[in-house]
This record gives sequence, C-alpha cells and structure tokens, in this order.
Amino acid sequence: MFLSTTQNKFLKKIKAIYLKELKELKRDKISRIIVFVVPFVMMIIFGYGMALDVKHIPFTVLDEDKTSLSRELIYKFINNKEYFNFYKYSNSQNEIINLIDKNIIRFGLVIPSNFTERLKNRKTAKVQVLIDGVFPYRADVIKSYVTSMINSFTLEINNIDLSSNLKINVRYWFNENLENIKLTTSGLLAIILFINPAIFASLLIVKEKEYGSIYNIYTSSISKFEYLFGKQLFAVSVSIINFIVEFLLIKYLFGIPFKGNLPLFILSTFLYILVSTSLGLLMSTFLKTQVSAIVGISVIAIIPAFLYSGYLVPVSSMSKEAFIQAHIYPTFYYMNIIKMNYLKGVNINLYTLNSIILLVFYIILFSLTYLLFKKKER
Amino acid sequence: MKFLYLVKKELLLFVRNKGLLLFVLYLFTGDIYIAANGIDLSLKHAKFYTLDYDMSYESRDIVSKLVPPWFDFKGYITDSKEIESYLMRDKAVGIIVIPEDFSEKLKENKLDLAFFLNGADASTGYLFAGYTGSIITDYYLEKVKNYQRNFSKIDLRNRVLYNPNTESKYFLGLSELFSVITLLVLILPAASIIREKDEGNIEMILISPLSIRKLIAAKLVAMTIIILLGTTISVNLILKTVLHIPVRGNQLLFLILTAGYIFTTMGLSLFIASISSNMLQVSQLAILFLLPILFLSGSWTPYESMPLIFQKLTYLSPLKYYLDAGYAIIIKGLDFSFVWFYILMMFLMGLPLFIFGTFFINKKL
Repeated sequence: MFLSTTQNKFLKKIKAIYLKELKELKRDKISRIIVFVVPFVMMIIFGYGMALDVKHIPFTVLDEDKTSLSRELIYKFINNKEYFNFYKYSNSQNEIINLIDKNIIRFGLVIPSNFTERLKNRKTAKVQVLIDGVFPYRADVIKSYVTSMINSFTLEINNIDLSSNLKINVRYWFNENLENIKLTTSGLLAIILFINPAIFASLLIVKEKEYGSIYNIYTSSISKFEYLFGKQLFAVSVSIINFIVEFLLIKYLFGIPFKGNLPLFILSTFLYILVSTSLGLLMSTFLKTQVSAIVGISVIAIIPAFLYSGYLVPVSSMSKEAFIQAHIYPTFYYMNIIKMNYLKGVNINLYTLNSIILLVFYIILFSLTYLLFKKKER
Repeated sequence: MKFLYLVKKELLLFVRNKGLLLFVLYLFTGDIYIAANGIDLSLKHAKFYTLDYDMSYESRDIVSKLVPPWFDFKGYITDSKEIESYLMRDKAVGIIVIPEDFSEKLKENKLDLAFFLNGADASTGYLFAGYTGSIITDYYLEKVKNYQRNFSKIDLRNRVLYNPNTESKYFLGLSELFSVITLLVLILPAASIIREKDEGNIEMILISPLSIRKLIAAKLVAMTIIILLGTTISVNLILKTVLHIPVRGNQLLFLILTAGYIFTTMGLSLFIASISSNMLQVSQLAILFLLPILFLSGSWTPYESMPLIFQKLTYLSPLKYYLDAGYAIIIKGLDFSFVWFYILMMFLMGLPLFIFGTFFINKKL
C-alpha cells in the first residue's frame, strides 16, 4: 500500500514535468512546427544530395600531337559521357591552369607532340594530366578514372583483347550494385537522431535557468531523478515521432528496403535516442546560458556525427587517433546497427554487443547528468 | 563614442560568458585540428586480406604491389567462409581471391582474379576497386611487355595542382573553418538579440536615448570582430603552424573576404532573430539554414556529383562563393583580380538580406 502510493507520486511528478513541457511546446507555434520540420528537411536534402560518386567531370585537352591516334584517345574520353564532360580544347598549359583556377574544369589532358611517333616506334609515350587538387577525394577519383582509360587504350593499340585476357571480377558484398544511396540515406538516421534530440534536450534545463523558473524546482519536493527523467522522456517522445517519419521516408520515398529485425531495430533506436538526449541534458545542466548550450552541443554533436560515425569514411581505414575517437562516440555503434539492418543482415552477437554499448553510454551519461545537476544555486 | 562603448560592452559580455568563450575558442582551434587530421576521404590504409588458392611466386608478387600508404595488407585467410565474417565485422575494405591456376594462366598472358569488396563502405569500395584495378593492369602490362617485344606503352604522368599528395587535411581543415564561421555567424547575433528581448532589456533601451538600431549594429560589429579574430588565430596557429597547410595568398585579402561573408550571413541571422521569439526557435531555424548552406556549398560533396537542381541551387548558397574564393586565396594563392567577383557576389547577396533583416527586426522590437 505504502509502496504503491510512493510509486504513484513518483509517476505523477514525472508526468507533471512532461505535461509542462508539452504545453509549452503546444503554445509555441513556431517551435511546434519547426521541431518536426528540421529533421524532415535534413532527410530530404541529404537523402537526395549526398552523393559521393564523382561523375560528369568537366575537362579540357591540349593536343600538341594532332594526329589521328591522339584524336582517337581524346574521343575515348569525350565519348565517355557518364564520367567525363568535355569543355573544349586548350592551347597551352597556362590556359589549362587558368581554367582550373576558375573552377570551369577539373582536369586537363596534355598529349605531347611526339606521342604517335614514339608509340609507332614501340617506345613509351608520355601523357600528362593536370588535376585540380582542391578537393582531394575528387582528385583521387579523377586520377584513377584517367589511369584506367589510358590503360585500356594501351591494351587496345597493342591489339590485346582485354575482355578475354584480363579478368578482374569485382563483387560488392552486401550491396550488389554499389548503390551509395543505400548507405547515405539509411545512415542519415544515425546523424539526425543524434544531432536533433541532443540540441532539443540541451535547452530543456538551461532555459529554466535563464528565465529563473528553475527556482520553482529548487524549492519543490520533486527529486532530481524525477525532474531529469521527466524532461528526458519529453525529448525522447518528440524524437520518436521524428524517427517514425524518417523511417517511413527511407522506406517509401527513397525506396530502400528494410531487411533487418524491426522490433530489435526499434529497441536499439530507442536506446540511441536515450543516449543523444542524455548528452543534451548533460550540456544543459552544467552550462548557464542557452547560447553556450547550443554552440556547445553543436561542437560535441555535429562533427562527430558526420565524421566519426563511419558515414563519410569507414572507421576501419581511419588513422589511429581517429579510430580511437570513433569508438568513443555512440554514433559509430548505432551506425553499425543501421548497416546490419539495411545492408548486411543481422548478426545477433554483433547486434547485442552494439546495443549493450549504447546502453552503457546511456547509463554513464545519465548518471553524470544526475550527479552534476544540483538542486541549488551554484 | 557611445557606439564604441556599446561594442565594448558586447565584447565584455562575450568574454565573461566562460562556457561560450571556451566553445568558440575550441571551434576555431581543436575542432579544426581534429576535423583536418583525423579524417581522410582519400584511400589510405585500406585493410585487405588475401585468399590465395595458388600460393605461387606470382600470386604473392601481385599482392606485394598493393602497398602503403594506400593499402594495408593484413594477412592471408584460408577459407572462403571467412570472407563473409571479415566483411561483416568491418575488418577489411576488401578481400582478394586468387584462383588456383593464376600463375599457370599468367604464362599464357591471361590474368584472372576476384575482389570481394565491402559494399557497406561505398566510397572506399569505389576507390579500392579503382586503385587495385589500375595497379593490376599495370602489373599485367609489365608482364606482357616482357613477353611481347613490340609493345607500345603510354606512361601517364599525374600532376595534382596545389596539393600534390592529395592530402585531405588541406581541404578538410579549410572547409571546417568555413563551417565553423557559418555556424557562429548564424547563431551568435540572433541569440544575443533574442537574449536582450528575453531579459527585458529592450524595454529599457526604448526609454533610453539609445536607439535599438545602434544596439544591434554594436552587436554585429562585436561579433564580426570576434569571428575575424578567431579566423586569424585559426589560419595562423592551426592551419599554418600545426597542420602545415601552405597559406599561399594574402591573409588580409582573406580577412576582407571573410568580412564579406560575415556580412551576408549576418543578414540571415538578423532574419532568424526577427522571426523567432525564443532560443529553441533560434537553434532550430539556424540548423534549418545552416545545413542547406553547408551542403550546397560543395564543401561536403563534389559539385559534379550533385543532382542538377542542386547544382543550380548552389549559386544561392553564400558559402559557395566564400569557399571558392577562400580556397583560391589560401591554397591557390590568387590575388584580388580573381577574388573581386566573389566579394561582389556576396555583397549583392547580403544587401537585400541585411535590409530585410533590419526591417523585420525593427518592426518586431
């Protein structure tokens, strides 16, 4: 009997905090809409635009040879419309560099005047390619494209039939056609569900400090746990609505099939949202102004979410520092879970391991928040 | 004179907010260092295993062609069942499978092998296939050249301008700096205006001889000073000294360009301040503006890879102009004759935003 009344009171207090936040959001017309619009917009922009495959690269050619063979090579490039986009011929190296500086082209091919002569005499002919190095990833991809074009041309002029002699079978495991979109859209869940809940939660306590309404809490009978948990529950429920919307967008708008285990996926997503909201709450407890909370959470949340989650760069090929860093951030573990559910298929041992790590993150972050939150003025 | 005091007041306010000061300092230093140094978008240390059914001199020879810093050979596996498990656990980017008759076939000028790549790491998988493909073709060409006496070979010389070793840190360090500036310029002015409103200071000013316009102008000037200072620290201390990124151009020109960008983006910040009434709205609206600006600038994905509509839309992102001109000054070392157009574009873009922003905010306060 006694136990049930205390339990009842406990729930009542949490509910009171929850309802207070709900009412506040309800009355705030702009926030009410925008809290749900931001994740939606993020999904659309990144889902459609996050393409890392380099295609239609504009280029120029400086042909000093001007023979049928050099033109043949050039046409190989011009006709490969999927990867290259011919701008026009150049007359000097300086012109190529100038075009690269103006961002009109990304690379220039230079065929020297002795090209055909040397090839006819069975000597090695040189071809130079000037590449814009400002975006190194793109430069690397261009390098490998041009190399493979030149290689296949070499085989051709030596009358070596490529298809029967050189067999390199490439198979992409988990993702047959190497569709980047499968990873870039499903991986967005890890990013959006980290950044948004964290920012949302980061204001929940600090705003009361700034407005002074926190004194009501200091003097009330509510316990630290009830207060913090009530706030967190509210942030979580907002995020779960966002999760459902994003999940449906991935499935129906982007058409990425979900091949994992849905109940398990929902469970680990719930854990992940608990982690990201706890991170926000933690910031909210030890900072004094809302501005610093927002800037602080952006520092902590946005960069790691993109760079260290394995979204842009696979964690396995990171340098040592980055490799360690990636393992400190929860985004990495949730990204593993996403990859299993959308690409690789679920391996129950790995799944449990990643989920348990998320749980540990939650326990640590929430306990830290609990310890740092003082029911009195500091 | 009064105005200068206001600017001083804003600067003091900023310095006294210890939390904010620390975060902003971190953004201009540690954050940029980490983003530039930790992450490499090009193919580096790509781990791979080999399943070698042949175990001949030739098969080992071809594996030895895949060398660091691009590749990282982790060892041999013996069973095809292990492929799945290694890729599942992300232990490797790819696995090379060499068939039994590899060396036999090579004697007949035929080369046959297979790659199993981790499709869950799409970008690296792509580069891995490209690099290994050309290395193996090269290997093959060398072999054929030895057998076939009359062989014409084309030697391709790559020259990557401005960044010969395609080091990602040049790019990532700068693009992180640009992102940091964008984030701060969007949030700080809006937040500080909303704060005055929240605390009721606006009413005080209404009855004082100060005008609100002057107060806001002082805030903007103060923020500009802070951000330009941060940029200078970042360029000299982090980019130049710690990361050894060659700063080729004129730094003063870069600061002028940055001031132009701050002007444009502050217009947006004023706009955010004018439509929001609390910090939750400021934060959410700032993200709503921040992401398209960052994204459409081409700082994250190559411009050519974007869908056509997005390519056209990039002209609306002020960061695109800042980015192109910023790289031009710092990495390429180009001068005013190249950059003036970009500064002009930013100014033209910022002017209406600024006018609208001030108009709305005056109306609201």
